Amino acid sequence: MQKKLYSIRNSIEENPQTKTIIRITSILAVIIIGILLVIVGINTYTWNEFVVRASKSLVDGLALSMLLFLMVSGFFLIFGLCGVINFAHGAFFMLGGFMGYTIYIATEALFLDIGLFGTNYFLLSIVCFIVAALGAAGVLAVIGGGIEFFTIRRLYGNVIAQILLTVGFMYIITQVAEIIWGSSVISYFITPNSQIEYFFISGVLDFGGALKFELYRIFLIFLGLGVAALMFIAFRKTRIGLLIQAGIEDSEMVEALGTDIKKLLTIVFMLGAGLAGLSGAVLVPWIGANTGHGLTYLIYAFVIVVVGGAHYGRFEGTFFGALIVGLSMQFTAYFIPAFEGIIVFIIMVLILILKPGGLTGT
Amino acid sequence: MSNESIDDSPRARNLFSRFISFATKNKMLLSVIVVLYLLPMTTGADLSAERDLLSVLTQIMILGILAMSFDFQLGRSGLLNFGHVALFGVGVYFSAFTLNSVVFEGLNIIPYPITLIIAMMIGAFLGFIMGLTTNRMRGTAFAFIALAIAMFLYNFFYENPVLSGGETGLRVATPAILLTAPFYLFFIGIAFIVVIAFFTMVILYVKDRTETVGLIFFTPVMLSLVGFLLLFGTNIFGAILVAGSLLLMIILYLMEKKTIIRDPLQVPMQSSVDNENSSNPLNRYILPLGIIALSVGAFIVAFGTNIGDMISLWFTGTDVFLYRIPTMYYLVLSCVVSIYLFTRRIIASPFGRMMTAVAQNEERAGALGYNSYLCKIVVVMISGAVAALSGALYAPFIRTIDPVTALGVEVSIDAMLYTIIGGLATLLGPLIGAGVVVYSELNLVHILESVGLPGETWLVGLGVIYVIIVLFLPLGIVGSVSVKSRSFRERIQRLQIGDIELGIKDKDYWVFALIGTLAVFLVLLYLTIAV
Repeated sequence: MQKKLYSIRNSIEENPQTKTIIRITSILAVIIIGILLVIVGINTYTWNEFVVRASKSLVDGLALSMLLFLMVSGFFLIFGLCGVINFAHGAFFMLGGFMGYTIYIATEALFLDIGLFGTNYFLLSIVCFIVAALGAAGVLAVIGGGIEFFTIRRLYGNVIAQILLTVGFMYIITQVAEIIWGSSVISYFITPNSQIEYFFISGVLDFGGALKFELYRIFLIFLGLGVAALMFIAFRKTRIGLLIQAGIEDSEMVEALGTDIKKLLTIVFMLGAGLAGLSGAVLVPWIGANTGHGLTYLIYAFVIVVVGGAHYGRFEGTFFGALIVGLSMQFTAYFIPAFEGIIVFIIMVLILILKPGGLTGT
Repeated sequence: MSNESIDDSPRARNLFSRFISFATKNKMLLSVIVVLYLLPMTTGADLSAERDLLSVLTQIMILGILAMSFDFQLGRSGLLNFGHVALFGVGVYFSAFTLNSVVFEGLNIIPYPITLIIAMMIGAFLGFIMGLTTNRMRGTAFAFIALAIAMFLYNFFYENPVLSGGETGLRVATPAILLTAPFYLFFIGIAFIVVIAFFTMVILYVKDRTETVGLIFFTPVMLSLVGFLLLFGTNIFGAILVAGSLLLMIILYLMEKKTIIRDPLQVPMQSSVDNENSSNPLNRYILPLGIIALSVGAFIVAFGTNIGDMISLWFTGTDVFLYRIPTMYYLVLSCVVSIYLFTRRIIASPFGRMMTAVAQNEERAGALGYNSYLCKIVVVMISGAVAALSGALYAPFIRTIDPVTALGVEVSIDAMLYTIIGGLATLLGPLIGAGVVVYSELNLVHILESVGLPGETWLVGLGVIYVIIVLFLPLGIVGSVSVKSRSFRERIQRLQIGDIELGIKDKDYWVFALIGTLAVFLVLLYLTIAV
């Protein structure tokens, strides 16, 4: 049996044509399975309801994946360049949510006090939102940079100690948040707690029937895409972006060519933590700020990195991984709610069995 | 251990010499576990502070077993496993189903010891499945496949309230066998065997160490045992008997010293028992047997009332729940000791070297002809069996289980923390790490409040402890201490008191182990009473 399998594998390696055939068949299989699923879906629900559910899950899934991508790219940057499995990343994300919430409420109160925008609540809300998102990113960047500068800097190369250290920070951040904001039973949302009870993009896009989309989620897709595009451009065009990319490929070589790698590592840590904070803050109007989010989103970050093959240093892996995880989660949430918590793991197992290196890995 | 049986049958002789060589080689182990085995006797058929401490120690040891099984994967064979909790959880749930009459009625008939064995088999089977994935999954990928398996199980129990007991969780009854006097007496018997082994070790030490150091060392040990009996014994006679055995030891020591000096050739004595030259029956048989008889008698006299009280509970049939804590403690302690010995044996075996080889460089190990795939599967299977055992012990201990405590990711992270804090790839490290973390989890609130800080910050305190440990003890407690104590040891070996050179050797360290264990116990007991 073993011999036979071996010979098949050999013949595949020898013939490049078989590889193409296998690739085409697998794509066809995926398409056929998809069509079958659609037919089953239409059969179970009516056509109209199917369309409603599918389009809703598409919008929600895209929005979630964009934001997951922002968070995980922070995780990936830290993992790729510093080699640190950052267990505190979920806690960064969670704290970013609380920072965004607090800063939003505080700036709104401030602007109302000085009466800068008068009764133009729309402008007021937009300015507050931008301040909150950037403020959360900034605070988290400072926290992440501080952690790197004072502790992790001494522990590069010692993976086990880094795990222990980041778990310690995860506990500290989570517990401090629980002391300040209460346990994970309570979620904080902006609109019910703000003074003017108005958020600039809280409406619903109505296409008639049950086809309603929350505007904020559509906005999130574009926001996420925009930030992602900015990041891609920054990585391709700026000097520091190129240095980070080169460092992920081969950090020793970058150091040998005269770059201060220590400074670069601190910057990357700040960037990663800042991205987590930004995505946490931007997600507050949707999922709220909750102290229990830390561990959940940490596990999503892990899964996305593994599924996308980003642990082999492919940046685009995080993008595809986030897309798959976000879409599959929302589709199961709308169609098979019992599988919502487990679908990402099923997909992860399937992908790892077919391609042990993840989607973009070797 | 009579004279005839030693001389007549070679097999008995073989067994006896094995016993002797075990006692001489495991001085540290024996002197630690003799204290641990004596602890439950200090409590009788009433509620006391010692019982609370025993309960805490039981929890520490159960989670210590979990950490040891985790260390077997990560420390010994380099397999990082985020789904370790799955192996633990199947043990928890299997043992819960056999002890709970609601879910599966048929499983109720399985007695608890067999439950433990079946749970280990289930754990090994799950470990086998996990191990199969190591062929293609390396490093992080394996960790996440295992995590996926754990999450499948978690979701399975979470989505099935019938199996997991819903909101309130599954209630687990205490196994009936734990509440019986014969089971208790069985472990008391084991405890006395350990006591006999310990004193055999002490006698061999006294005969071996005829230098002045010997006298300086065994006297404080016996005196601290006298103090222990005075503090916790129900009467004063036990302490007097131990003092008597100390007297006999000093006589034995002086006699041995004389024979050594009389010997003109100064032949170094390898093992006193095998040495046929010292044919004096007094210091060969009478004194050692007298010492053992006196000291075993001492413990029987000192704790007889407590043991008698416990046994009478069974006959009267009232308050049998009082058996629970001592028997559970003894069961878990025996499991810890056997797993410790088993792990040590495996690491020293050829298979253990193969594990190390595969962990360090898999390709090279493969090129040398080792089947690294098989090796990894076996490692995960063994580790799975041990983890399931700890789970099966944990279910009746914690009494109410829900999917989060049995199968949550937090348990994996905790097991990792215990291992890393104690020290990776050290035998005792995981146990000590579990001790530090679990004890501070249970008591940090009180400690912080007594200092004047708000108690709700205890998790912050725990995080700060982790950060401090990482920054100052990067190899874990046991690892870093053993590295740092090397120079200290060299200094202690050249220690002098006045003109006498002590010449402390490796075989003397058991004294510190015993006195240290007693001191730790006293401090913990004081804290339990004070808090």
